[in-house]
Amino acid sequence: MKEEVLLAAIQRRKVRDRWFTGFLMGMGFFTLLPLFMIMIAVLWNGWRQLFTLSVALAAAGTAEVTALSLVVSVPFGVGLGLYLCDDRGTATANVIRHVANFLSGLPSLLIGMAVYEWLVAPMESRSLVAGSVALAVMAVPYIARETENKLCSRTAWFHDGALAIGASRYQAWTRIALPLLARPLVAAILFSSAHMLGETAPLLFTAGGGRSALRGVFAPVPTLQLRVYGDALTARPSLAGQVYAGALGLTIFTLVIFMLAKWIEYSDAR
Amino acid sequence: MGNTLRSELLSAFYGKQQVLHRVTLSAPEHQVTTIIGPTGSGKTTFVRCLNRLHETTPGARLEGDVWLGDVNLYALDPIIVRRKVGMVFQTPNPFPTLSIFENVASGVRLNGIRNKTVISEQVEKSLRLCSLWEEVKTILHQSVSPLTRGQQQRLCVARALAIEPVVLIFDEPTLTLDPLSALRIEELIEDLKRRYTIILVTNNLQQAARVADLTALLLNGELVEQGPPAELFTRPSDKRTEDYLTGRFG
Repeated sequence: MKEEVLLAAIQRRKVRDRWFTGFLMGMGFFTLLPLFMIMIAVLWNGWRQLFTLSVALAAAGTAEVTALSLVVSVPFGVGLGLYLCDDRGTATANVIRHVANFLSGLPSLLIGMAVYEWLVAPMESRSLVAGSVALAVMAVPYIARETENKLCSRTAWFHDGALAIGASRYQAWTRIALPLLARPLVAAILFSSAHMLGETAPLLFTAGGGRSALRGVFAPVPTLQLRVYGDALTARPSLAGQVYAGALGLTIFTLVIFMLAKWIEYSDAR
Repeated sequence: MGNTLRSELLSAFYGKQQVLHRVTLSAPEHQVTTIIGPTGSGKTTFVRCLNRLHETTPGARLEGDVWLGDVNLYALDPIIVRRKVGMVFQTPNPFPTLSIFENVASGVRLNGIRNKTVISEQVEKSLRLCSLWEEVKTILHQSVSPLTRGQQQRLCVARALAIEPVVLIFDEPTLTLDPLSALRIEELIEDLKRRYTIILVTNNLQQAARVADLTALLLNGELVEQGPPAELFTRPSDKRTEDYLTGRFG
């Protein structure tokens, strides 16, 4: 009798487990559904005009503005992360960390407005460099946080090892600890650039637009984000294909960078 | 005085928490001084104070002095102190991005020596001292990852020796090693004491009895008792030592 009761209880648990697994899978499906719908809509409506000159120029502009923003943000972000890890626990480091976190939580529109005041207004023109600085301001806190976390959690042993053989703090970080993190940091930097590709607001105030991506760093530059935004605002049906093509370009950009970052992460974990 | 390492009334703190209480201890040259004690008794903090690694921990501070012979180590630059007082850690920590050769050479290079012949000689000498040369001489420029943990730990000893310290601190160096590798490290410590002042932190009482010339028991950050192991293990003068040795705690 007792065994029957036990078996019935186990059976009930199994049924509940199956329901619960099904519920979780359903949640996962509904989370992914919008993403797939967006992907299908963008692919279906955008692929015909993907290989046009205007999309190609905007893609080139996006690549330029992202690359230049990394040139600006990586030294500052890695340097700040290094400082925050080296000085962890001190009041100064805590204040700087909170300010950086606050900065990363600011609406990107505000950052665009600030860079407009700092660079666009004095130069009297939106430009590639202003767009890059706006994106860099957004990327620095992210890169700093990733650098700090990775340095402190993954290299403490080796950092101590370097100090114990007479390295200075600077040598221990730059010659021993940082090279250990080369791959994960490159992955984090790529993730930050993928994140920046989703930002339109700061570029609205700073990058400008125009039709050519090759007019130099102080000239306005077209980007895919601005192309999509600008064409969508006109609400002309004839430009719908252009809007979708721009969105598809952005999606491809993001996907490629994301997959590259994932591959680097994976190869580092091995 | 020579190369005797001596702490005088050494107290260490993490923030407001005091973890060492006025520890005065001498580690004579050419002898192995073992520090024993249960987990959390302050052994690692104590040895990190000796080579001034303690102060690299945020919020850490210290009172008291450490003398090497007649030189106060807290009056020197910490980088110079760490060149004189080498350290080997619990877990082997060779630098994974460097080759075997570069691991040993790293300390020499970090200390400003650029001459390739000098560096090569120093690497070979250090690896020979650790009885590792014959095992790695054909794979010197390969990564450290194929080495066993025991070999990696001896490589870390070689790395510490390459900068020619006068004191070597071993902080539970065999904790993560298999018995055979642990035995080789013990033999290495026996060998090295002819050249260096050695401090060995261990939780393993048998190991302390085997290799120590002098043993000290730390308990809750206090130095309870110190003396030759034969005496301390058989005729402890403090009840707490007897309790620890007989397994009543720790």
